[in-house]
Amino acid sequence: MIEVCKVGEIDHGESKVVKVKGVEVGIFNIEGEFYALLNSCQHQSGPVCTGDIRRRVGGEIPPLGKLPDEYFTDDYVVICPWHGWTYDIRTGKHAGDPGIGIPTYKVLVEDQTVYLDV
Amino acid sequence: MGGKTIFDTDAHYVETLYDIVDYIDDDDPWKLKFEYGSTAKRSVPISFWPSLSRPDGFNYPSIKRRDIDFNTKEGVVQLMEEMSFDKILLLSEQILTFAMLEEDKRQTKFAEAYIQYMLDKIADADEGMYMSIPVPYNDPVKAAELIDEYADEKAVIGACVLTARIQPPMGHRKYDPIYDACQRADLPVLFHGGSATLDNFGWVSGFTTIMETHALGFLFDNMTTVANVVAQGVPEKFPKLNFVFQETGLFWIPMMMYRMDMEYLRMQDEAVLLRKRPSEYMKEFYYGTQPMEIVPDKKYLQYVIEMLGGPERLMYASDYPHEDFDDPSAITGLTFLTEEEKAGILAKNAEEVFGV
Repeated sequence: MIEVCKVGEIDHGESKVVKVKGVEVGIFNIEGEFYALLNSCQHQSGPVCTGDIRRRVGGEIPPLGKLPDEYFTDDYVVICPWHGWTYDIRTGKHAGDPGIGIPTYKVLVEDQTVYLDV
Repeated sequence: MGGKTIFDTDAHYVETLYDIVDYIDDDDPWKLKFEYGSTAKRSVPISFWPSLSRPDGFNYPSIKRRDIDFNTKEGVVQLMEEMSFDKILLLSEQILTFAMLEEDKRQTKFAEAYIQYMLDKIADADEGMYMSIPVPYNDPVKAAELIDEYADEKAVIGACVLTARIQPPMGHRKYDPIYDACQRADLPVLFHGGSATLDNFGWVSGFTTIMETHALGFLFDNMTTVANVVAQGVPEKFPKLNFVFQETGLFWIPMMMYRMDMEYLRMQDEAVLLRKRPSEYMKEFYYGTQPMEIVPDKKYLQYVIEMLGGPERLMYASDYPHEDFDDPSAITGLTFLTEEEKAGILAKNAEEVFGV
């Protein structure tokens, strides 16, 4: 376990990129839970973890002749600033194709300190 | 053809307005207009009904061949015998002009009369002669009513949308009643390109050769259709519906699959109804094989067929009597296919989808 930051350094809905054993990892705080993703987009290796964080947009099949209602789901995503590839922060899976995913890392929080299991 | 069943899924029955006018009610004022249109010949500059580049529907006048009179049931029988077709799906010829019709009642009046004419005189399920409903997309509610009314006819096995320059494209919610009716009736939707000739290309003005417009028109029509239908989630809204894209060849399919995937993977929040990549939906569609591209090495076709989901997505189509028609040898000559795969393309895939 490697210490990467203090809990207070990252607010809900924010991230911080740290370097661990030569590898850049994004640490995310989503509603008080911490998650970690490799900071490399599966598309063209862009710095995905530095992108915008927001809730994923969802939609339901509409009645005949209507446009679908769009809404924010409970899933939080990070959007790669290079081209917009979008990943679920909790799972690392691409929001449009779960067959694509960024490596995730185990995170442990103890005594207000965030540790990474690498 | 080596004993294989052959099902031609796209031949153009060359009906005229004269053929169908008797199937419009005498007390319908539109009958007069169709009577005028059927007798006014194409040389009349103020025409009730638009024409393609040549009055006989052929575009390139250098081709001289003995054609079967594809305007009678005998002609259909003769074609089937000469080409060894066991089954044939006939498409309306006049539907090719639909893009040139404004939003008046010509599409609906024509479609209603055409269906009755074909059922009365030509289509015959017992003889393997099937037909599609020419979808009057200008009036989706009426189109749905026609599908409801005629889908149970044994000879009616598809609903054909001529995709030439349809605005808005066929993914728009206004067409939901058409898809809903087709899904309820278990009737596949045929998307048939058609902006082929110099005078009815319409996407861009300024071309001077049919070589250009004929290469591009079908593509523009069906690329527009597939982009819109997929992005708007039509396959999710109507999950039991089968879609068949016709007369656009094969190479455009993987190109659109991968271009749509590229856009989707960075903008999927615009397409909230999609549950997978666009290419995955496109691999569930079916494609008519005509006109088969001419390639310097057959392996290129092999790769394309592999990319679009395999030979089970394909249906042989002749496009007879048009001058770019494909003989069944376009399929049997593909040496990389197994005999079973050839049999699938020549008939079995279509038999399954159309339920005949």
